[in-house]
Amino acid sequence: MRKWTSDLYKLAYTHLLLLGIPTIFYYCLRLGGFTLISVHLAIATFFLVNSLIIFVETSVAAFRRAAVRGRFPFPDPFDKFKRTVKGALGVSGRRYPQPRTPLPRCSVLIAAYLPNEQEIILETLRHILYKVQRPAAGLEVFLAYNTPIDLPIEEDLRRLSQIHPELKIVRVEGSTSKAENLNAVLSLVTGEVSCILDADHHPAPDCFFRAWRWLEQGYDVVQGRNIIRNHASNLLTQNIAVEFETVYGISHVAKSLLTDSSIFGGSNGYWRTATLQKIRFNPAMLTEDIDASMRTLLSGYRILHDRSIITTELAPESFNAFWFQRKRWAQGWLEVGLRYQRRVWKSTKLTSWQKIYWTYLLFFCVIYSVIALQILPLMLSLLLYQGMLPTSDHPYLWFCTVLTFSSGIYQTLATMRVAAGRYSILYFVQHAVMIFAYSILKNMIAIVGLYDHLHGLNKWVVTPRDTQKPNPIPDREPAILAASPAGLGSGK
Amino acid sequence: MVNPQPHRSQRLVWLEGIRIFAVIGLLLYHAQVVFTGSPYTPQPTGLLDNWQHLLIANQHFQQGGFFFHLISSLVWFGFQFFSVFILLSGFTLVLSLQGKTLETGPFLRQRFARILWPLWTIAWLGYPILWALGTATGRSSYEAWTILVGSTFPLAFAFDGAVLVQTSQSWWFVPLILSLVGGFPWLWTLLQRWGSRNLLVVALFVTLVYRGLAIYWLDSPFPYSLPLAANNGWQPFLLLPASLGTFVLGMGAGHSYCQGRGPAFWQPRQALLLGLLLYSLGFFCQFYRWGWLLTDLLLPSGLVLVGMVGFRALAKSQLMQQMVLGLGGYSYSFFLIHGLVVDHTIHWVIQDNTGLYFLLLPIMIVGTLILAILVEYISPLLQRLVVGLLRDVDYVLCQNPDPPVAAWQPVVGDPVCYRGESGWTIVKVEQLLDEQEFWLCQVSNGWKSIWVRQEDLEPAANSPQALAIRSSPDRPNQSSAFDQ
Repeated sequence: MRKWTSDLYKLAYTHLLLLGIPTIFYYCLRLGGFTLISVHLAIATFFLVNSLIIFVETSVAAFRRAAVRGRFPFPDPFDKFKRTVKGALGVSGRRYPQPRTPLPRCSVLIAAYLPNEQEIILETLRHILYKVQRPAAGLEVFLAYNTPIDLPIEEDLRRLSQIHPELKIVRVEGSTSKAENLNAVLSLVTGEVSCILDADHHPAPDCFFRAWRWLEQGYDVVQGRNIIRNHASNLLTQNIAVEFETVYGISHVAKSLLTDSSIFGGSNGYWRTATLQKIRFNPAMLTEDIDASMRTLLSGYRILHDRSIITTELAPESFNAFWFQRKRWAQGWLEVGLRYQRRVWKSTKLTSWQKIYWTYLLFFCVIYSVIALQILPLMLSLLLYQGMLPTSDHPYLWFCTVLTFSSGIYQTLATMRVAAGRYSILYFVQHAVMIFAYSILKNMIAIVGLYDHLHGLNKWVVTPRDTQKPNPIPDREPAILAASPAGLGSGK
Repeated sequence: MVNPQPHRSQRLVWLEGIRIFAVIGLLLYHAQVVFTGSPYTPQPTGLLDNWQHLLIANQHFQQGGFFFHLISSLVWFGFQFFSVFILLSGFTLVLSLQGKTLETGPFLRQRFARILWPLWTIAWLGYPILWALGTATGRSSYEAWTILVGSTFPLAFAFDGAVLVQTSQSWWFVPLILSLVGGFPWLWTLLQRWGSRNLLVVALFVTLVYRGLAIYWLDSPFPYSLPLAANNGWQPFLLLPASLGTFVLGMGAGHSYCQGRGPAFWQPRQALLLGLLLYSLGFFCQFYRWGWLLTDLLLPSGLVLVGMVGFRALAKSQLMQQMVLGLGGYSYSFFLIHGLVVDHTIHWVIQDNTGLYFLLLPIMIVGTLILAILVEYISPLLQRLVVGLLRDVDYVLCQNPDPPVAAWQPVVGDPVCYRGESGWTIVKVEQLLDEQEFWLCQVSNGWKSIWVRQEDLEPAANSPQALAIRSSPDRPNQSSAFDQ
């Protein structure tokens, strides 16, 4: 297995290039009498824009809810008053739609790479077969897997499928990717709604019913919320758990509420099967899910994010696995950004607001890692020139600095409020403390991803699965709900 | 069906060796000219008079001893490598077409890109760095006009590179190389029609007549006297006809080489003797006015023959062979950068210190090589970035973009070319939606398989699909304004 240390030279090289050369450049200019305050202000503005967007996203996600009950009895007068005020301010949230038709036949598509996931796949299948509520029209489960060698687990899978005829096991010969596995079973699917899952995902029992209320309203894809099952393993998984709550509970929700568009995140996505069979997945892309999302949106289909549809997954427990997973994500996002940004600007299917927001998500986020880094050469050159870092008395720079640091803390506090899993408060405190270092780490990985992309290095490194027993997350929702739409509770 | 691998022209060790030797020679020449303020250029005053001038010029290096005197004397004639490059350009351009048919548009696009992208990379990165260094040291930097012309060349194209030389003395050569490459397709057509011997006779005749006019009618002085900008009188020697004979001589040698004959196949002894004879004649000719008619033909021919023999002998060592092949690819970038390195090192660091000059000469060579490697590394990345941005702008601003139309339907088993490279076969096909339906193909060349979009594939030349597309009257054109 590849070690992250094999990327160390890329890390050193890219950062030497991106920090060293600008430091010398700025130092030379300072020697020539330039104060470089305009450069400093420009970079600070860049941070300011990003912080403001975080504030807006967080506020929207914290105060507006995607799925709330239509009318509540308010026994508490204060609660009633609060609701009235929020209604007047326009932050009381949407009414979630009531389904008019019964949930049709559904399909679950699980993609797996078995040598890596053979320890966990049976547990996942049993969870889906025994826990997930079924529509009256029936449920089918496809396991599409690839393996370079025959494995004993395949016999166990065959036996399980004999016990559960709704389980179909498909070994995809010649496949080397998740996209190929999924494409191979798309023509076999008979359900009207298809849920895509990774091998480590345990969806909530009511997932299909919750997704259907949006699909019935005309949406084509509904993305649910992923939370971390093995959060207690170590400091890394604790941080990832909070990060996932931020991403799925704040960022994606805000995106959906602000622009009425979202992304399919690779799993816990509920598709109209007819749409999925047209879109399919591109095995040439590193992040086939984001690629499929862009093609879906550009083709005029609609994606919605509902954070009340929950699945649990396993976070990478080792730094090595984390490194390669995040590098692939960063590189894949870059790949998608470069391919689709111009198409977003030109699209007739997206509104102006959606175009602006997707430009922020694609273009801005791609250049963020490089531009954000430029604050360091500016500081280093000042240190070289003056021998110390003098305190700035520029109010705008202070304003930007305070806002940048507070945005992360504000986002973490809001995440605490909407977190589905009841994590220890310690998780959030340590995340708030570590968020700066964690962001820098992710930024560094993104730079290495940029290096790999520029050099055409796009080999998929499989995220190794740890087989330790995960800590269960106590759900806020009841474990089993009645198998009817009327039984749906409210969600965050 | 067997899908043959494309024929690739192999890089010749002796050719790369001559290139490296030539660019180092030019660096040394340039450094000597800048350091001494150009005290010696061959004059049409006879051998003895030039010898005396040479001795006077070498007084700059009095403290160096005999060895340095000898080296310095040889370095004064480093300018001769300019005409070596002209001859080698003709040779390598013909070699690049080995086994291919010339498609003028793609050929010129590819060749101009190879010449201009390294130049732009050096200009776009070099000007800000030199400006910052100039600011830090309190020295004057380039004028805005010089920076604009250098950064946007050939927007302000001038056949003599008058403004380019304000950035680097050796950049006058870039417009000439562009002219030669631009004229190559026409010369290649003539070579096919007339044969290389007839073309060479005509080209030599044109060159001799033109050089005669330049020397006796236009009264132009020797072509390589520097600095260029101060001596516009020798501009006639910078026009294409003045170098046409040398260039076509290289083409003819290349054409013969492709047919397995010509000077490249001569015995070493024969090549060495003839090379030395030609070089001696050319060397003698440069000191006489009438000799200027022939010197640019004789000198490069002799130098290339001698160099070929020498580097073939050196290439018997595997290590040397690998080193020469490894470094040869950087010769063009080395050529473009050496002037900047030499000028700024001498003006900013060495100034009048002869000892320091000799000490820093090897450092300048190694430094230039390192920068050349960097340029060759950065240039393709910069090219992708800029072309990508231009394509995006073109796509966004284009009012009626052609919808991508699939020219052919890929089928499993079809032989295809992937990005111009044959030997691939389709093993799997997927149809996806991306506003419109498109094909995604898994292709394999026997040892690896990859997924690619159909746009990146072409049916192999001999497949039924290729024939059908060729015969189709409405073959779709999907290119953007910025396609390479």
